[in-house]
Amino acid sequence: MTQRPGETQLPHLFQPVTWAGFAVKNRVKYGACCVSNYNTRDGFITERELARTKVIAGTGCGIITNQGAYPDPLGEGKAYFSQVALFDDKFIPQFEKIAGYIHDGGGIAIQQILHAGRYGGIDLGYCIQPSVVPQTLPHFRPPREITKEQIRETIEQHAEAAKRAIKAGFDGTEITSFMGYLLATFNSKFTNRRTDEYGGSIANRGRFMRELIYAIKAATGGAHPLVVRLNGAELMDRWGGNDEDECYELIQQAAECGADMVSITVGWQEAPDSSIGRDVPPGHWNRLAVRAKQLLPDTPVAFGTRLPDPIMADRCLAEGQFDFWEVCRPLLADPDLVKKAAEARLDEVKRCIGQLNCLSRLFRDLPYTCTMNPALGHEVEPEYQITPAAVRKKIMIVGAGPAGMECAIAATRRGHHVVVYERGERIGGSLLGYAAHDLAHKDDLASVVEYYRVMATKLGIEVRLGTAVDPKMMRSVLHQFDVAVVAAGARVDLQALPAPEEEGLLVEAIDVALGTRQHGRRVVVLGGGKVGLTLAESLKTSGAEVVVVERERRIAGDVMPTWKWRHSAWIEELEIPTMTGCRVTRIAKDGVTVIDGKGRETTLPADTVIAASPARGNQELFAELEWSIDELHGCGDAMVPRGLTQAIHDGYRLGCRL
Amino acid sequence: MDANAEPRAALDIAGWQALLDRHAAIFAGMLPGSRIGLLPEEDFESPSAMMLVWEATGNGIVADYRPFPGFEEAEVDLLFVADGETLGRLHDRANPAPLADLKRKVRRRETLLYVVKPRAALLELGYEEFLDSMGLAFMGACR
Repeated sequence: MTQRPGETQLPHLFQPVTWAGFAVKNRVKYGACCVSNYNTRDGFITERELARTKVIAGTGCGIITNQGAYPDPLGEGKAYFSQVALFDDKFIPQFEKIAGYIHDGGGIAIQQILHAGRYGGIDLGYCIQPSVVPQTLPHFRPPREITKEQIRETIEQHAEAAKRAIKAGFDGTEITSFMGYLLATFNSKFTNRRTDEYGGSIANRGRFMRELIYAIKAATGGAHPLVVRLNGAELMDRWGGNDEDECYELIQQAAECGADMVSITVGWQEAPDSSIGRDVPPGHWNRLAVRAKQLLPDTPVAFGTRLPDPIMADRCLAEGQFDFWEVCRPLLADPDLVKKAAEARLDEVKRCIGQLNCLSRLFRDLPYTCTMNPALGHEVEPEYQITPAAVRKKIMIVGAGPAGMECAIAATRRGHHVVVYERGERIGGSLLGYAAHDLAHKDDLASVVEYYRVMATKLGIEVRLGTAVDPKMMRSVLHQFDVAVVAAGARVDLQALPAPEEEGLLVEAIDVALGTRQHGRRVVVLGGGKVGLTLAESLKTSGAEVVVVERERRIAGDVMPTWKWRHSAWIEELEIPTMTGCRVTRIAKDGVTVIDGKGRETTLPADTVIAASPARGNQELFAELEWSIDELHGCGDAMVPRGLTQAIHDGYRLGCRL
Repeated sequence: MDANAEPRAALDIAGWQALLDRHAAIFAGMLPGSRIGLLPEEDFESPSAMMLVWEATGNGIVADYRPFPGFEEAEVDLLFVADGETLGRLHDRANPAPLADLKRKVRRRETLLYVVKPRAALLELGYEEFLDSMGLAFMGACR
């Protein structure tokens, strides 16, 4: 077969290898990083899940790991609201379908058996772990100590579940010690305080894992490999957890008792540090894989934590840092990532930007979705698919921000003729400004804008920059379009604030973010939501004195749940004063006067006052366009200002149905 | 209370009580019998460890020292494990925002907060204001 151009450019990633007797077409392993929550409450797989799995099976990965199934009928191992189960033969037929999809796609099929331990028992009101060590996160359930008899039973349940997976057609299985699941709680000193043969020394703490490996290997036979996921760093050592040396002793134990691959992961849910968020630079954790590979030269090592870039992965593989690039979230964001890499079309990849929308939703017991991929989880619904338009239309889209560009791309792919009008001089809308101020990793958000630029060029979408749409302009294009989409974003509702007593004192956040307005040394930001905080953090970092004023009692009210702590931590680290529960009463040359809930008045000196909230959708055009065009729609912040995820999803969905 | 049983660097009860009285509003919703424990980190593994307990009585919240018999018998709803310096700052009457300090330490995981009772039970016991003020609504999960 002829090599595709990207396969030559990334020769290590696309190198066929043999693993555990299986011919693997490349060195990419789809990791079971997230449970989808798409299934039934009692563990059965839904059509929604099967449709998603078909997409995963088609990603082109050499090895595909299906999401974790809990192995016990009681559900002590069940961590997620609608996690799949494998504690009974009745589940086998659906797993057969998934194994079939993976094989049809040319992948090696691995089924993960996931007993969540400390994070399990979602329907029970308790969880089991080696010792009673209470939770440190209020989301989870109080622990009960697992008895020796239950240990034996649990090991047997894992082995039986693994046997079912093989019976269903999977080639191998995986167990996971990731982030505090049952296996991790035995391995770690943080949660294992037992005094019997399963606790104390590292040899004793590793006993459960070794018995688990032996039992699964015995149950599934030598022809079916077992992958063991283990922490290279728990990040819990400050509170009595394992240090890295201990983590590697456990990794060695796993290899010595027959693990066919070790997959190195990072961190516990309860850890103080980020492990996978956008604030972690790509490649940050690679050293953990390097150490594992040095320790275990003869055992295949998979790794991918915060390593979203196939070029970096290829380089790591070339240097022998690990053997398989384990990737999941980047494939949620763009299931065609591997194909695009193979075809040297990496500029068309929608990158995972580490928003962690997926996890935010899981911890609210919702099905996971992805900021970048609105179709994720909706693969079974025609309404979310790009299908040829029944009637080809001429569409004008007002605004080249994420909502407008998503709509434009989807509509163009469906066969419509699309022209985007953008008042500014660049594609990207307000995202362009905020990406430049993102303290986490500017390149991630900037990649979204670049994706739109590339796709507009490749799809031939006409983008008329520097073109405001107003009544006069509309008269000039009268009857030229069938459809208008208002995706003009939002502005701050200045009417909701006191009129400034001096011209130029009050500026809008987006104008500062885009650099069209300058700010003075002393800045007061009105609004402690994501826009205000992003700007405040950035301005403080560049030397300004910044105070944030927020009407609500808490800052970060509109920030994604798994990201709130990040803003709060930055605000603290940067020592940015926040005045919450405060209303602005005056904006004058001597500063901003605010009044708190107890009626106390304070004047904050300011050279510049930045209005970051409340936001109001730019909807003026609706009235202008109503009688000048056949179809009129709106999407994104122009309708309800909510932010990037919703703008992307709104725009895509509208593009799919125009 | 047995004065000899106080932890090393004993911090006087009057100081703790003053802290609780200053911030009574945060604890006002707690039902009688609700208890928050604070354990010095350096005593965590000690069999004779003593913890400070803040207990709601119906007439306000009262500070006292008690033995820490381990998680299962501690009879507290929340348990902070903090180093001596953190406890000292929390106790310091000159500290203008001691609970904000504690919140910051918890967020940074420099102080560990064990949530001994499940969230729903804590809300039943009237911890909503306290949990909210400590920023515990959605802390941590997989980041």
